[in-house]
Amino acid sequence: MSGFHDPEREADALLLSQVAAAEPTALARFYDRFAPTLFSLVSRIIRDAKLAEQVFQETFAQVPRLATTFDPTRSSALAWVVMLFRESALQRARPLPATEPPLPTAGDRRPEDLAILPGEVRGRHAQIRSVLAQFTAEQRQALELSFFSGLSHEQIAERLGTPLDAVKMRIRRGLMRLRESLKEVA
Amino acid sequence: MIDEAQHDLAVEYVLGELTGEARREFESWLASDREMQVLVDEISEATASLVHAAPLRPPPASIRTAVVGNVRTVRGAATATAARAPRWPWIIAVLTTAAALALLAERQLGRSPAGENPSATAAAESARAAEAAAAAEKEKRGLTGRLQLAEMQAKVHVEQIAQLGEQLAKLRARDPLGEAIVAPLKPAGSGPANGTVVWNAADQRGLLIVSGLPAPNDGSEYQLWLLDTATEPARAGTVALSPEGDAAFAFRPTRPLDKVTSFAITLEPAGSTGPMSPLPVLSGSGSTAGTP
Repeated sequence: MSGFHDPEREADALLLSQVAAAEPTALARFYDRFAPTLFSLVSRIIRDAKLAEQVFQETFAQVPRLATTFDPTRSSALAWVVMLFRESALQRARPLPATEPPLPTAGDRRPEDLAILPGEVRGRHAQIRSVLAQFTAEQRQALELSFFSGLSHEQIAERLGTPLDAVKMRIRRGLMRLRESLKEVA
Repeated sequence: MIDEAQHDLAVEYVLGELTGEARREFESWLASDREMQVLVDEISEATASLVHAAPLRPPPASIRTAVVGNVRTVRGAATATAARAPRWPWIIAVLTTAAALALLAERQLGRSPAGENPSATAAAESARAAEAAAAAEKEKRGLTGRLQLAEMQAKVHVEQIAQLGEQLAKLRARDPLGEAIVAPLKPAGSGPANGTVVWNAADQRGLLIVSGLPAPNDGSEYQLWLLDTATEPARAGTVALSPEGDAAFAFRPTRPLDKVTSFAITLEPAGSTGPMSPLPVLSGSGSTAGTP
């Protein structure tokens, strides 16, 4: 059972419970808090802009009904909703072409407008980006192919020409490092 | 204690790589293993945090209108009911009235400080009263929110206690000795080596005792296998021999198994993670001991 020591996490869980209870304005507040993060996720998984908008909107419409199944003692509201949108987007995404160039690393990315994120999300965003920046390019690539492209460990190993055990180790260690980082904050 | 193979299994589960029977088997195991539940929860949090690796893209404004209408909220007020009118406007009225009455009493008793502008003092008092009322309202909303959350958690905890109670009743009714499979291990040919495996499927753990095994050649090692009638043989660990050729150790398989009836010890290349060698050094089948 995960703990409830993080006020931000408590606030999110409360907000999701209010969405489930159909409290007035709760869904709008939920949207304003999570939509930029979730839309970025869906857009990253589904490269087609129009389809990404459609999937995001359809999935968001399901949130009030599915929120009744959320168990705040097992996960944070953020983790719950991220995994919901990830699964939904992966189901609709086209298969990753075998010839697609490697994913960009943090250094390749253009500066971003953090102002689109609510203030309380920016800190966590920066913290995770900071941890990811410490990973090797190979580790980031394995994690991103797994999370954003839904590839299995075997598919990642084949795609990168890397032994399966090495792929598993990169993903395992990467997630352990992120896990430690989240615990430090909590 | 969760080993790396089990950790990888948990990662594959969270990432949705386990499907069909493998997923059901893992969920069955997960339901009864507290340590694994905690690990899966933590891996889920870590995995979800990867969302922050996505390049930021704001959703089009039209989507917001489509899904939530024209409801306006205050940025950053995740839990505050910002767009809603105060629930207890009477608090503001009472505090404002009280402040006004106090001011009036002061003036009638001639206790207004000399040189102060009475109307300015009244305005300041009203402002302070309004601030106090707003603070009280904010605190009330926060407390109400925490109460709602606590009620939600309490409901979940009550359900969990009920589930744990059922599990506890089942565990109390169990006879671990009667459920255990005891299998004597015999060599394929002649030889002094022999052993015994005790396996408890409900706990997914067992005990191996062997003696008389010759030391493996350089670059080789003995490995223990659990033979499940429904799936491929599962590796359960390396058999580390004493100088006398004996070994005794407790083991857990690298994945959940519920139809194990046979066991084997094979000679494999050191560190091998490949399939089981077809010629076991020792092997044997067993059945439950039965309730005395």
